[in-house]
Amino acid sequence: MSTIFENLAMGFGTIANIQSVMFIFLGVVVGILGGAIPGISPSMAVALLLPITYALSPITAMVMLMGIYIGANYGGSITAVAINTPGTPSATVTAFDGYPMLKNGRAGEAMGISLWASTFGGLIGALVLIFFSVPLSKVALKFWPSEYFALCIMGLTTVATLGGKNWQKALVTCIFGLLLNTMGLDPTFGIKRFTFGVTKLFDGFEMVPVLIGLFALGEVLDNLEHYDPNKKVAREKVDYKLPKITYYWKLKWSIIRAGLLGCIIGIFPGAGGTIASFLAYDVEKRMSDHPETFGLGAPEGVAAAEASNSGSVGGAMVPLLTLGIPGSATAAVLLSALMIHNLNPGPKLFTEQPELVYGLFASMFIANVLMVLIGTYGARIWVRVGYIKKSILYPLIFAFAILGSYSIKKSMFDVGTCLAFGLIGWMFKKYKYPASPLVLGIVLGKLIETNYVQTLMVTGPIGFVQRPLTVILFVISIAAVAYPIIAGVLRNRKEAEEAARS
Amino acid sequence: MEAFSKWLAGQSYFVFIIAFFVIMAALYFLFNSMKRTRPVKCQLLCLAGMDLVTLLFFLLTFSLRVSKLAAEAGATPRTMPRLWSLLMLLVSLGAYAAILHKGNKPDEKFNRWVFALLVGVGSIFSVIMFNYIGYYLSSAIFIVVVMIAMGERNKLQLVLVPVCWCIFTYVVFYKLLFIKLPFGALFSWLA
Repeated sequence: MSTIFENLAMGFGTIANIQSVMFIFLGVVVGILGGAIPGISPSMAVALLLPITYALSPITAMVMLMGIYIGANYGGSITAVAINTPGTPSATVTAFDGYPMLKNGRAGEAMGISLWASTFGGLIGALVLIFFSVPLSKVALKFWPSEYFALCIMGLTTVATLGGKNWQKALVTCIFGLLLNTMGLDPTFGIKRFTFGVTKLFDGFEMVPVLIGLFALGEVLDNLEHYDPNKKVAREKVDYKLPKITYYWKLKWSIIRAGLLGCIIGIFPGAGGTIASFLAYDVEKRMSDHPETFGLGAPEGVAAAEASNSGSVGGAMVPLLTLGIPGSATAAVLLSALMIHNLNPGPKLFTEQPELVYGLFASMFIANVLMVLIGTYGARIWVRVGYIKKSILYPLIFAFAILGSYSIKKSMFDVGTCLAFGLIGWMFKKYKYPASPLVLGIVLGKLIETNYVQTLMVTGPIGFVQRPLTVILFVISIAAVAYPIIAGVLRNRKEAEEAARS
Repeated sequence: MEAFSKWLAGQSYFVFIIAFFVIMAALYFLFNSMKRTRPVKCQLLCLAGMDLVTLLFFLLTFSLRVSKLAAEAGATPRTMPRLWSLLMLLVSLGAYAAILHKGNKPDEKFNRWVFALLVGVGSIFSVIMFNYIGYYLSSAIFIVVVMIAMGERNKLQLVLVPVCWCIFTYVVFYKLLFIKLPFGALFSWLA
């Protein structure tokens, strides 16, 4: 335990300089801005800012991106409360009670609760991350390649099956991502695969243009398709004066419960903040003495939603840092960011780059504290961000996406990749094919192939069933795929029975 | 199969792109002609597109070189693409079934898709113009054109937004990050 605190102190020492704090501050501001603008998701905000981090040191780059992730999760709640339009999907639940509170003349209370619940939820997530990930990384260090292979497969199946109603499509995009990852030089033997004579494809697709295309351009193209120039957002004159700090004391248990729940849910790959906030809201409603007030402006509802989605940030970082498996779409982008800076996420990161890992942990505390300051003093400004005209916003996102893709290698090929994946992202969004499993497939493909080949070379096929943990992980993977199939069949049968009865 | 795969591998990627679009067009008409597939034709086309790429990759695996060492280990460069192709076949069948299931939602109707596509094409044109009129002018023109196309009529904003964008990119990318953005042949000639 004392080692953790010593390392954490070292982490604080690593980022205790003006440059790091400035970039965390910048990250939180950009994150809140991005989160507050409907149509910009946390993953999109992180992907768009990724090219800017090239010139920065890995630690500065990562703390800034972490700041964006944290800021964007809170930012989404601002427009959810102010104009009943969640800035991010995970803020949908915040609008259930946040907007009714505004209608009841309690806008300041709603904004204050979302801010403080986000902060404490984020801090709970950071604490759980520290105390969970360190022992988990020690266990993961003892993994064999076969266990890594099984773990990656498990991560993929869990993510794909958590595509909700579209789980079949999620599985397809996930496998398609894995297939696309095989383009370029084979990682073990160096044989060219599917390069079609294009030398720029020898390393496969550059990750950043792919991410920007899928998450930013795809989203903007979809928004452009539904854009109505005559539609105007109604502005309401409301008082956003935040209550005193003592006001939030009565919500302490709601925040702690939801923060912990959000963090635990965040640990599971694919679950993320949206599921966490829905579950935490439901739990809070069930535990409340006045469940009838939920949906009409219950402060506990806002607190639960925000604490849980911010708590999920810490949770999502657990599998990312310890196992190299991202827990959410934004974590997948962060995983790419680590790789771009020549860092290999996984247990070795804790031993090879402890200053980075603990610096990242420390930055989560600083980012949450900065968020309180920025949120408190900028409440009125952030609310206005939601009113930015789409006719200004979308061309700028487009221009930023192109610039970001170009600036990596000054390559027109990368811009083309970005535009091509933008079109794919648009089609995926339009026809309900989740894009994040595709990214996970592309990101995890190399890891899977390397461990698969290593297992075969060291032990032969028996290696996949030799160790109990490998078998357990495979069984979980099979269960993760089988569960939605069985559940779907049972649901259909139940519906058919009910239809026959009526 | 290997001979066919080698012939396939020898083709230019333009051939594959043209062939892809021809097959997709044929599939569109096929799906549109059947009552069952018509309401979900675009969902099916997305899936078919991914399956076509998978099929191509699978066929191309036969032309990949296999070393003795790899063959002995049982893990060649062909292994993973084939494994994913096989899995793709399985999950695609499930997805086709789910899309064609009666309870599945029909395709989302097309809204202003031509407009969105034109913006996309405009961005390609803007990128091509980087080499001629430079990044700054090209992106400024792109931003103004899209703003006007989106119904923006405020002259001050039409001027300020691209100017601010150019200043921002120049300061952040050129001065701070030392990323040299192309000035274009026009400005090189003027200089």
